Amino acid sequence: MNFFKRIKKAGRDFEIKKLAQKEFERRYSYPVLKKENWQVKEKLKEATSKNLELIRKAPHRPEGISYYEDIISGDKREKELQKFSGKIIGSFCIFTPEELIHSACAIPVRLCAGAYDTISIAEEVLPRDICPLVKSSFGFKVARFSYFELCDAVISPTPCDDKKKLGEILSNYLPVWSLRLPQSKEIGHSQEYWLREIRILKERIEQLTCNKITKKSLKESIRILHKRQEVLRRFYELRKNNPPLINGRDALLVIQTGFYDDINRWIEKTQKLCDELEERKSNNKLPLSNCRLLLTGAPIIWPNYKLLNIIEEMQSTIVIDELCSGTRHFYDPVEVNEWTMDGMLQAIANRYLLPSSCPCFTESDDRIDKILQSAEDFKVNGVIHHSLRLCPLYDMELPKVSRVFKDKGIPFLAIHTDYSLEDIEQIRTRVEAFLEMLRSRT
Amino acid sequence: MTPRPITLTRKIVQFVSFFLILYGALLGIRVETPLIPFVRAPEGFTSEERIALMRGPKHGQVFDTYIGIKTCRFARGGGLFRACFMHFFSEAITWRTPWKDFLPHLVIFLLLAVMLGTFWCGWVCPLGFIQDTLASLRIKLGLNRLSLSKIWQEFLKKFKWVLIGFILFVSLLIAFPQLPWWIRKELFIVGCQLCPSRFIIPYITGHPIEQSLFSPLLIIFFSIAMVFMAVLIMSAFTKRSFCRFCPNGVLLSFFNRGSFLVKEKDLTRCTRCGICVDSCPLENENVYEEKKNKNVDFPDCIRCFRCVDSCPEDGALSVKFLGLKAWKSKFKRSK
Repeated sequence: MNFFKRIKKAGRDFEIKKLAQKEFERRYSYPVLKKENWQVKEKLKEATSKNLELIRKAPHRPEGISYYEDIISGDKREKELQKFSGKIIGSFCIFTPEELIHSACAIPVRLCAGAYDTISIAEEVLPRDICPLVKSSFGFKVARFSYFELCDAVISPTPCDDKKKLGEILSNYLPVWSLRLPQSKEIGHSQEYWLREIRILKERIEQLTCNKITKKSLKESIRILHKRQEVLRRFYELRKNNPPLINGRDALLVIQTGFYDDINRWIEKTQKLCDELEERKSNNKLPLSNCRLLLTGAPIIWPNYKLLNIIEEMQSTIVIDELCSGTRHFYDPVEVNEWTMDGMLQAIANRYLLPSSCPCFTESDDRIDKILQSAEDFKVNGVIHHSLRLCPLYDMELPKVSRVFKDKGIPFLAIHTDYSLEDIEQIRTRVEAFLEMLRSRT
Repeated sequence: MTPRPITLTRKIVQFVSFFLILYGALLGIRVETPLIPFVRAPEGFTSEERIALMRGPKHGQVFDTYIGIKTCRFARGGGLFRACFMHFFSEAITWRTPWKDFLPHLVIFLLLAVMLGTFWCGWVCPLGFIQDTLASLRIKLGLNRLSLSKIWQEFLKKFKWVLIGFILFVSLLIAFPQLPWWIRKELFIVGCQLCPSRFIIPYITGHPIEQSLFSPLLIIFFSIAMVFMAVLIMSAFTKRSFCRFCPNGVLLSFFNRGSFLVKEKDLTRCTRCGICVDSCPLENENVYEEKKNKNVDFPDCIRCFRCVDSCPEDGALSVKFLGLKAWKSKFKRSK
């Protein structure tokens, strides 16, 4: 029996090796556009500094946050990565197993962008009516700056239509590995398929970096990433406190620097930040807030903090978010039951597929459960649902989600917006009215 | 790497109970219980006439009782209990044991089962301990797991009913004296003849069995038992494969729902990360699937509480005994 299993396993390994070799065919070329655009770079810098100013205006900020501000707005990390001798692997979304990348001595960088200014360049290649996040991220590649230029390869998962096709278009610029997500998350069928995708990815990472992913290195990287989750859980525990110790923008800054920062340094700094917050908790000088909000919906990524700025300028705090650019990215741990190669890979595959509450899967109830639970844990007064224009996934779920909160009696506000700054005043009036209503309730 | 308090406690309990059940009588304790009768074979089942493999214990046991797990009667070196309850059940049918002898043993079984259900399987059963040890040896060696395919899982779920039905049917069959004696004597305690523990535990306790193979029926049973033995040894790769169709487990599993020990799930706290499925020794998906009912006790469960131990959400799964919280799941922090 063992003999047959071995043959089967050899067959599987051969198949995976063959699949890992497969790339986009590109028999017909797609218009390729590469131009360094200094104007855009300048504009982007302006936008970031403007955002920073707005963020800095907020009262009672912890001191430790300045490190994250530096990393996210400056080019310190970029210079570090330029000096890095190993490979840098870019990725989109939350489905890329970072454990595999770390264990092959490479650095993962999440490329999802929130810059408005790169959209216009991307539109020279991409159609106009698609997701702004995709356009914005692609614009960085066209304009040839930021982290995109440093990547040796890009992992492109296929959650929604726009990201699915983005992989093929990007393959004209640099090696792209598409990570094909199953359409639903269930034990058995999709799990097996996804595990195979993870095996293929492992093979590809090994081929690119020329480092073998061994049991030892994988165990070590799982350990490090588990440490990150521990720190993050501590951070979230502190966010439950009622005079809010940190505002939502700062919390998102902390998490979003983690997308590309050096992991050990990030853990260390966040540990320190948590210590500082702990101190503040005992000092108890902060004002109590009766406008604790939960933010859910489409990703909000630096520097697109438009909505956050509007909300938090009106003496309210976002105490918890359910965004894929926030909590969802780091929250779930890899829990390995058997420290064998298969056991670890299975645990990693499970962690990235099963607990994910991305609306790209066929069921949406798990996401609602998650929002309800965090609304209860963080004692929120209201829920704000952010949906990006031309992202139908969140819009389709919106009626169900809003209905749940209506039944529960928790005020709910849905906001449709874009990366552009044109609708600021409209949003402001809506949010103002919502917050007024919240305050009158309590 | 991460501490698993429940699994650690369970391993200690399993280790201690393994030695107590197999060697307990060697400690020199003898408990005479006048209330519980010693069930004897009726006339016509005298020991000379029984074939060698059925030979009863050489030494007296501490407790002349039966409990629901594989406390093998062939642990002749010094077993703590007389036999497993499945053995008693089939023997009592065969011997047509009178109710007043049968009832006290049944009451003991029911009491233990209603209290804890299949808890006995996960924490006390010596055969379970052997399977867990084999699996942990495999993990120490760094070999990969073989997960049982869906077809086999479904097959074994049905097969356990076939097996227990067969054992009880045959026990009933030999109760009729009209059947010729040579058939009756070979069909006697067919459950034990099929049980892999009969081939393991006598060797551990130092009194090997004498297996006679001079009849077609005995050869058939012996070969089925060898298949079961192979399944048991394969548990190194498939984790608790024998428990999937163990007849004792079937008897205990009726009491899982409604026993004093309750496993509960906080429905919204569960993120459906699937860790409970991955950690389950029987690869059950029940706990993962359940999103409507708070109670997550299922008949297929052996109550090892590995799911509670490995669940990363604080308080998503909890174990209660008579309404008191015994354990709850926690996010693991490495030391």
